[in-house]
Formats: sequence, C-alpha cells, structure tokens
Amino acid sequence: MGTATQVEQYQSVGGIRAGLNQWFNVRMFVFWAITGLLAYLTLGPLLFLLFDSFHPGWEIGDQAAFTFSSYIDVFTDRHFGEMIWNTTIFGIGATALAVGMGSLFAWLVERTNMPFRNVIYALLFAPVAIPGLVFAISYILLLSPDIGVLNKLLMDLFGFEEAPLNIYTMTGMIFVEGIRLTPGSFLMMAAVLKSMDPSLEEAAYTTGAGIARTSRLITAPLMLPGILAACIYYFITVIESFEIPAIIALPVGMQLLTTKIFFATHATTQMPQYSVAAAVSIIFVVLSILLIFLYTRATKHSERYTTITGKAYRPRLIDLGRWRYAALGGTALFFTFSVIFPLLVLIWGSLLPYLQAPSLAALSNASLESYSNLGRIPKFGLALTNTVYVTLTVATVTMILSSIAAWFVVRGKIRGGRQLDLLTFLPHAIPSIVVAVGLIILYLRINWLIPVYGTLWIIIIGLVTKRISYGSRIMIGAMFQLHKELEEASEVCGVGWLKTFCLITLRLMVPAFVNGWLYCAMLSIALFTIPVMLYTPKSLVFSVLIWNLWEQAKVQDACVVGVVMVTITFTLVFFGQYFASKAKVQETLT
Amino acid sequence: MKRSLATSVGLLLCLLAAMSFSVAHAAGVPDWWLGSQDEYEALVKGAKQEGHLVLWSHPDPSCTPLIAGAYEKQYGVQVEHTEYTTAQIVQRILLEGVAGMYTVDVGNLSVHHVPRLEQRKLLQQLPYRDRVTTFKQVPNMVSPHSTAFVGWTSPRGLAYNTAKVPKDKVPNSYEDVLNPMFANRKISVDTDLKEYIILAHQWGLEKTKDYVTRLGAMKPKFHPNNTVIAQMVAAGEALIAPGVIRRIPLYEFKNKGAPIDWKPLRPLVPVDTLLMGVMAHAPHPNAAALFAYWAMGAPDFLKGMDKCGGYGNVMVPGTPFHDKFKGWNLETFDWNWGVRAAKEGWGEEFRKIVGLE
Amino acid sequence: MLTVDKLVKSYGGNEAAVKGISFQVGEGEFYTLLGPSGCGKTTTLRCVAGLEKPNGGRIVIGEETVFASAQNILLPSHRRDIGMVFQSYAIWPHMTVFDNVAFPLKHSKRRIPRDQLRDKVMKALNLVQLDDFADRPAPFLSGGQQQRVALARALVYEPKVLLLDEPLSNLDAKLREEMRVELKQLVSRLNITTLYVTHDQAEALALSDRVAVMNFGRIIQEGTPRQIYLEPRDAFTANFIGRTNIFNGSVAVPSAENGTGVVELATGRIACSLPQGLKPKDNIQLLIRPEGIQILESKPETSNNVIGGEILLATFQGDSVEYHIQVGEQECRVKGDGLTEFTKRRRVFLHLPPERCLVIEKQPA
Repeated sequence: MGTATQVEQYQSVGGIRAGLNQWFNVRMFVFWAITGLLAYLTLGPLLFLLFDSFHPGWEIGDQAAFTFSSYIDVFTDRHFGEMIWNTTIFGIGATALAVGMGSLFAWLVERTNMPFRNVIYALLFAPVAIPGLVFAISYILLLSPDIGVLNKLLMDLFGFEEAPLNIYTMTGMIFVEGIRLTPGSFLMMAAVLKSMDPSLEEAAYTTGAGIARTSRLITAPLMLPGILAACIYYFITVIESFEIPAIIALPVGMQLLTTKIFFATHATTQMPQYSVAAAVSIIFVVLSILLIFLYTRATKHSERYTTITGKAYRPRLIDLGRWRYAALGGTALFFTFSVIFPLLVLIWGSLLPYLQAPSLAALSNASLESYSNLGRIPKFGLALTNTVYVTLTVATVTMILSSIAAWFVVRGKIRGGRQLDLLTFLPHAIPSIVVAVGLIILYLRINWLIPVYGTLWIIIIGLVTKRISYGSRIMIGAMFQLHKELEEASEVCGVGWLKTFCLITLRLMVPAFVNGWLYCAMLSIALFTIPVMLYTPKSLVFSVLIWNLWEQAKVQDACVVGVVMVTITFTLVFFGQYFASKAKVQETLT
Repeated sequence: MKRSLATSVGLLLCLLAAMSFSVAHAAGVPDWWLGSQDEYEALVKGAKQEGHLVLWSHPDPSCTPLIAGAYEKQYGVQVEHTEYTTAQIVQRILLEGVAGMYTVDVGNLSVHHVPRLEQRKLLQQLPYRDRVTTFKQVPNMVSPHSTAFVGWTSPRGLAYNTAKVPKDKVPNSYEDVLNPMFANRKISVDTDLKEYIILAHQWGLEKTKDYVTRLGAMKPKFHPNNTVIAQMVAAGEALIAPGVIRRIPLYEFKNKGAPIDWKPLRPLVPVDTLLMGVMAHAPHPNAAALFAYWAMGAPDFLKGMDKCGGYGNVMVPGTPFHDKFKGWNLETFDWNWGVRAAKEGWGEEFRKIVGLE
Repeated sequence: MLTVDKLVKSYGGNEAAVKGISFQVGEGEFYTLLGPSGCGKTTTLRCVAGLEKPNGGRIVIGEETVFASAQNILLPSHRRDIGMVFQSYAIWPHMTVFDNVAFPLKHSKRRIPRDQLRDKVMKALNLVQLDDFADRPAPFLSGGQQQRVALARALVYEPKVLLLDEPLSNLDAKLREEMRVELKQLVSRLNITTLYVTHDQAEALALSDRVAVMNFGRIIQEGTPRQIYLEPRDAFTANFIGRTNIFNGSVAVPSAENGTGVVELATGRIACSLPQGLKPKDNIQLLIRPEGIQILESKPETSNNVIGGEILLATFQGDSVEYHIQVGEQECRVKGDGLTEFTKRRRVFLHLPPERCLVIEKQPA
C-alpha cells in the first residue's frame, strides 16, 4: 500500500469530491469565483432582456402576460428585411475596414521600419475619447453634399457641378464607422503581433519568400485567432452601435436594427418600449453565440498558435525600402481623416460660439475665452473627479477580470473554461440601453443588499460589464501566444498557480494588458448611454455632462469638456506607453 | 335706535373682518394663498423641518437657479435640483416606484403620462384650485384629478438660416413650409415629430396626417434632437426646421451670433406643455406641496421665468408670455388629448407616414 | 525513488497515448524513455510531473504517492518534489539568469532566508558553469546557455527526481555531444534520480543506466544500454536502436537443448541461437548489426555462416567504411574498418558470427 507520509485528498479537476483532508485548490476557487462574477454581471442584464422581451412593460410595473407580441412587432415590421440587409452590409463593411486597417497599421507599426512609428502609435488613441456625436458631426462638416468642406474643395479643384461625395449613404456610414473603430482593432492586432516569434517568419524569408508572400502565408495564418476574434468583436460592435447611424442613417431614413431600437425606446407619447428593444437584442445575442461557437471550433488547437516561448526573440523589422515613405504617406492620410479632423472639429467647436463649417470668417470669431473659466460650467469639478475615479476603476477591474478569464479560456484546463469565453463576450451583444435598464431594475430590487443604485458604483458595474468583452479579446489573443511551458516551468518549480499567474503570465502579458487598460479607460470615458441612464447629481461624469450641455444647446461648453476629456486620455496614453516600455522584455543582441 | 345698533354692529363686524384680514397679512400669509392661515403655517413649518426639496426638472440651467434660488430664499429650504428630460423623469419615477423606492419630491411631467402615474398612485392629489389664486383664475391649468398642473409652456416654431434663406422666402405658415424650394433634404425634422402631435390636437388627426404625408414627400432630413437640428440649420446643412423649441436651443445659438432665427408659424402655433406634479410618496411632503403652491402662486416664480426669457406660461394672464403669445391654442387646452395621443399612437402613426418606422 | 505503475492516459475519445506503463527508477539511477515521436514518452513524463492528469494507474515519488486513480489522489505539480527541464527550456525572458534560478527558492514553499539564497543560486550556477552570467538578462543567452540555466533552476532546490524532456534536441550536433558529457557527469556527481525522454538513441545509450524503449504507448523492452543494443527482442527495437539488417528466412533445424539451431536464408545457412518452440519451416527473421558482419575478400575454408554478396556502394566515414551490399534479393549494410576498402561491384563474402545473430519469429508487418 503506498503509504505516503502526507496523504492529501485532492479535489479532482472538473469534479468535486469530498475527501477527508481537503486542501484548498486555489485555481478552482478562482475559476468558480470568476465564473460566478462574470455570470452575475452578464446574466443579470441577459435575464432581464429575455424576460422583458416576453413581458412588455414589466420593467415599469405593467402586468403583462407572456406574449410574443414584441417579437412579432420586430419580425413583421414592414422594414424588417431592409433592416436585416442594411445591418448586415454595415456590419461586414465596417468590420472589414476596421480590422483590415487595424491589422495593416499594426503590421506597419510593429513589424516594419516605417518612420515615426511611436508617434503614430500614440496618435491612434486620440479619437477614441471624442464623443461619438461630435465625431459623426465632424464628418458631416467634411463630407456633406451641401456644406462638406472636402466636397467644396473637390468641386473647386475639378469643377464638378454636384458634390462628388455623399456621406448620407451606406458607403459613407461604413467609412465613418470603420475609421472610428480602427484604433481599437489596431490595438488588438498589435497585441497579437507584439508577441509573435519572428523566427517563424524569418524561416520563410530564408527560403526566398518575399515580404508579401511571407505575410500572407506565415504571419497572417498565425494571427488567425487574433484576426477572427477581432472580426467577431467588431461585427457585433458595429451592428449594435448607434452614434454614427444617428447622424448618417437616421436623417435619410435608412433602416437598421439599431434605429429600430432607437425608435422603440424614444417614443413621443408612449413609454419606452424596452421589450421591443429586448427582442432586437436577442437577435444580437443569438448571433454572438453562433459566432463564438464557430470561433471556438476554428481555434480549437491553441498550441498551434503558440509563439512566445522562453527563447529569445527580437521582432525583426522589415525594411520597406522606398515604400517606407509611401506607407507613411498613406498612414498620414488615414490619420488626417480619422484623428486630426475630428479632433480639430472638437477644438474648433470649443473655440467658437456655435459650430460652423471651417472658413476664414469663422476663424475671426474664435477665441480661447471658454477655457478661461472652466468653473462656470456647473459641476465641472465634480464631474472631473468622478470621471477620473470611474475611468481608473473600470479599466483596472476590467483588465484584471479579463486576464483571469482569458487564462481559463485559453488554457482550458478546467471543464467549462472555454465556455467562459462566451460569458465574457455576451454583454457586448446587448445594447447599452438594455444593460442600463437591466441594472436599474436589478439594483433597485436588491438595494438593501448592495446599495449601489444612484452611486458611481452602479455606473462602474455597467461600464465594466460592457467593457469586459474588449479586455478579454485582447488578453485571449495575446495569451494564445504565450507558451504554456513558461507557466509549467514555474509550477514544477514548486510555485502554485496563483503566484505563477501573477509573476509569470501577467508579467509577460504586460504590453497587451497596458494597451487594453488604456483603451478600456478611454472608451469608458466616452460611453454615455449607461451613465446617462444611471446618474444622479452625485455621480455625474464627463460624458453625461457633455450630453447635458448638448441638450441645453451649450455646444461650445460641450466641446470644451470634450477637449478636456481628450487631454486626459492623451496623458493616460503617454504614461501608459512609458510604463509599458519599461516593463517590456528586452530584446536580444544576437 | 335699532338702526344705529345695526349700523354699529355692522361696522364692528367690518372692523373685525378688516382686523382679522390685516392680522392674517401681518402674520405673513401671502396674497396668493387661498387656504387658511393655519394650513399655510403648518406647511411652512413642516417644510422648514424637512429642510430639503428634491426637484427634477427639464434642463434649463439659467432659469432654475432663479426659481430654486427664490424658493430657498423665501423659505430656507435647500433645493437639490437635477436636470433630466421629462421622459427620463417619468421613467425613473415608474422604475423606482416598482421597487418601492421614492427619491423625488417634485418633477416635470409630460401630459401623455399623467394617467399612468395616477393609476399607479404615484402622484399626490392636492387641492390646487382652492389654494392658489392662479389656479383659481385658470382652473384648466390643473389636471382633472388635481394631481399635476401646467408649469410652463414652450412654443415651437420655425428655425431658419438667415444667411441662406432670402427674407421673402421665409415661411409664414405651415403651407409655406411645403414650398418646393425646401424639398430634398433641406428641411430638418425631429424624429419625435412632437409638434405634429400637438397640432393634431387642434387640427384633428386626419388633417394632420395629410400634412405629414406631404411633408414626408418633401424628403426632409431627420435628426434625433433639437440641438442637432439647430446646429444643422446654423451650419446650412438644412435651410429650415419647423417645430424647434424657442429658447433652447434656438435663442442660445442666435444670441451667440449664429445665422439662425426663430419665428412662429401661423395661424396656429404648437405650444408644448411642461407639467409639474408632487409625488405621492415624496420624502419631503410639506416642502414639496409648498413648492407646488408657491411655484404658480408667487410672483417670484412667474417673474423669474420671464427674466430668464424662459418658457413662461401662456395660460397665466398678466404674465408677459401670455400677452405675447395670446390667442394660441392653449386657451382651450384639453387634458385628454395627451391621453388620446398616447392611446392611439399618433407619434408612431406619423413616423410610419414619413417612413421612419 | 520513482515508481510508475500501470499508467494510462488518453485524450478525449481517441486511442490512449499511454496504455498501461510500469517501471521503477532507483535512487540515483538515470532512466531513459526512448521512442519515436508519438510513442507516449513525453506524455508519461508530463504525467510524472503532474502537468497531465492520467486516467489510471499510480505514481509514487520517493515515499509520496502523487497519483493513484483508485484512491483518487492527485497531487498538483507544485507539490511534487521534482525538477524539470523542458524542451524549450522555458527560461523566463523578463528575468536575469540569477532571478530565473532563484525563482523556486523565492516563491515556492521552499522559501529560504535571503543570505542562504545567494549561496544556493551561485552553487547551482557553478554546477553548470554559468557563474559569470548571473546578472545577464535571459534573452541575451545562447541556446546552450539557456539549457544550462534551465538545468540549474531545476537542481537548485535539490529535488528528489529530475525530469528532462528532450533537452538536447534543440542544440547543434557539436554542442549536443558536449552537453551530453557534461550532463552525465553532473547527474552522476549529484547522484540524483533522473528520468530522461528522448528520441535520439545514441543519446539514450550514452547517458542512461537503463533504457525503456517505447512505441504506441507501451514499453517494448527495458534494459541496460548494452542489453537493448545487443539483445533487442524484436525488429522494432532492433531497428530503432542503431541499425540492423533483417534477413528473412525459415527454420531449417529447430533449436536443441543448448539453444542453437540452423536457419535457412535465401543465400545460405546460418547456425545460431534460436528461440524455443519453433518448428522447421517456420518463418523467421535474422537480425544482425552492420558491424557484426565480417567482410571477407575470399571464400573461407569453412563455409559456415557465410553468404555471398556484391558491393553496391562504399561510403568512407573516417573511422569506418559503410557498405551497401546486395545479398540475393536484399540489400544489407555492413560496417568495415576504415583502412581497408572494397570497391564497387566487387564480389565479397560475408561472415555472420553466431553470437552476433538474433533470430526472431517473423512478425506480421
């Protein structure tokens, strides 16, 4: 009989068996804790969504029997076919643009010797914090057939009679949305590229394959999980987003699933019909589940994509030769559209009493007056402190939860680890407005237990719920490429799971973590649907302040606050980059 | 002898009456209060004890300090004021009510939702007409069940770009709006089509539907809120926009020099009503009731509204707004039209006509 | 020191990777699992390390049962007293050499006081001759250096068992040979129980006290290097270890009490040991290593165990010459000494000494 000096009954992985001396399994505990937490965050809004879609008016206390009427409303809408078609085209188009551009820039910045790479890297973050409404309006100023500056320019240059570019089209909408989402997708793809061992590519080069062929046949397939993850994420982002369609689709009566949600929840004489919004959201949720399922199948063998090993790697920079400047030129052009212009419009709006198309006459009206007395904007100081607090908390909590969840998803050592992936992604499919109402209802009811209603914390919870999907995409994509032996080496050394996770895994994931943190921070500053529905005077944040100022037609003040917001994010990016570069693993000399 | 006695008694009574009247005045009961002195004093005492008032009102930051400030000064009750849109206010009241949580005392309401709130017993019934002179004067200001009253009104008119629309072509009536020169995305219309719902109250549903159909045929541009509309008109992206609220955003822009102006469209100007009501489970019931009475009774409130060029109240005679916009449809305000509009879904109907839904 | 008993491991619904393996490694012994890729050797090693969860069997390290499916015991890796060197070395790139080696002492339950830490780490580095590299950041190391760091890290806390997963396979040939020697010396100096996994038979023979040849999840043969090499029990083992010629034939004279008999090949008769129980005309295979065959220029007087052939190819290899010789319908390899050379197309005679011959029953393909 194997008489061990210490017989330790151990919880067998994947099942729970009671034993005489049960030792605490940290990994299991963390797994169940994180699953529980994510389930709580996700299922709350989801259950509300499901229930409410069958019980119209339940949220405001209407006694409604179980009914399919909301679904019938959606599916028999006379524009339903059009909505589905438009939504699909919009989704595919904007995703292709965003992920395509994002991958291209990631490759240029991380892998080539294009000049000014670092500047570009920092600049890419700029438009994220610009409020969506302002972003969209800036494109009206650029590309409207009537007042668009670019159109005027082209008409003057080439003598067109009619404006050649019309933003109020599907193409225009795809263009604006795709550009808006490129920074995020760039980050995702950069995280993937940063961790890739270039010796795999170098092997290809030595066989004589050129840059294009290697990128196509080696780099791209290795980035597959990352690319797929990004595509799925952004497809759902696009079909669910409303800020751009509000300014481009709505004016010309283009029908989308999100405009349906808008009309359902913004009725003039009726109460908002959340059950209809919920019914539409279910479509998004089902779609997401399907996509995640396909994704899991496609990336089943995570080992295939492992590229961070203990071996030294130095990302070899591809020499673009003369193409360097062409690349820089193309990038600069892109930036002019996606970053510089909206930013300029925002600044422009803060300098002028009312937003006008750029012109010399307008310039004479400009003044910095509005910046001189920020205190006059009611509650500016409070909003500032609240925003900083909320942003830092949301980003940190999101990234920590994302990292932990990512580990279980990628390593999959515990039954249900891969299913965790779905749980982190689902909130993304639920429109913010539905999440917000779900949260209100939940926390009103359990206020005696968790008194967060009306405080900053309910806003934090809402934002974390929505942001986890992004954080987990980044960390999952990066974690695929961390060789498991680096963690195993620590475990066989006698270091337990939790310490290994903190000292080895997370430490090696720092660049991705920081990028994700920064992006989450910036996005949560800009998100306003959830805070608007949940705020009280004490829990005012910048995005709500901007929205309120906007509603009061104080456009200039709104832009001023917007500029302050962007400045804060720039500062964050600056420090974040600095921190990440310090933590970066040094590159070899050989 | 008998006659002199009667006269003396009569004189004595008159003297007593006059004395009690002056006593009442001397005690500080305001002119507009129609109730008893005791009741007023109890209200004020209760309000002072409660010390707080939670007020949710429609966004208008320059007017509110005047109103809230005046109330604070008068009674020493601290006003915690938050701005939400009416839709948000009603929704919060309902959502919180479902959970049994009551955080607000007084809020702005929309005429479409009063029945539902009454049904849920969320609104406090107060004898407005018997307590405040204004309400007595204009009993129609108060809802049939005395749960809410018209706080202020906002006329909706035409916004137009002064630089791009020639003076002689600026529409004067609703028919003028349908001038072909404004066809093809030159008109900006709010997606909630509020003004047409108000117009339907006076024009009748059929006539309004007909108008909206013709408006839809002009292929206007739809924008989600008034500020965006005003921006678009100021920038020249649209030439005109019927149904824009006068003060905010229009005059905000105009006063800053934007090439935009506002004019009412004749013969009938849609005037939107912003109601005010006291909550049934108000955490500070005395302060709330006092505020509701004071708001319409006290000259401060009405003057305040005028001073900030605010919404004013078309229904109250003697106020500048009433004189300015006299004769408009609100003289015959019908409390039921809002209910009808909601029940029959006028908003959705119009949206369908113009192709938004 | 290490006992593995009826270990079974399968992945999903597929065929088991390890189908019931049992072996024991004594204290201080160097035991190698040798086999082609996919044979289950690495899986076995990882089961011992606790990185895979076996489906059945028992593993005992020292006095501790770390896995027993019957009693539902499963000790996680970090509680097993083992050290492991991975094929990829798994050196942590964000730390220096010193930190890599010090990591187990700093962060595991074996924490030791600060002053002793430095000594232990330097001692370990000294063992692998990397004292001067202590402060070098890990990515700045060559492959061989990384391997040594991995070794130092595995040994610094003096585990009961050292596990090595093909640690030399990523090195170039010259370095590999050097490291082989160093490793052997190190391990025997420390007298540490070692379980080694490799597909390189030369390595296995050079380093091990005992070797277990594995294929398709089972141990085919176990023994000392000499035994494995000189006495392979079947064609697979014989072919895998070193090179073997396989001649097909049949039993002419079954084995007598002393074990010898005669087999009939296509080109002659060979007298040698035969397994018991074979009858005349039974199909057999005769295995003989290239260096076991003697090449004779001319036919010897006694034609016992002699067959004829024609030289197809002669390859000079410095210390020897390798010949490909046509014998009947078959080609065989013979190793001759480097000084003599027989030229192509030369007819020669091959002597197959009985002690170098191994006869086995013909195994189905």
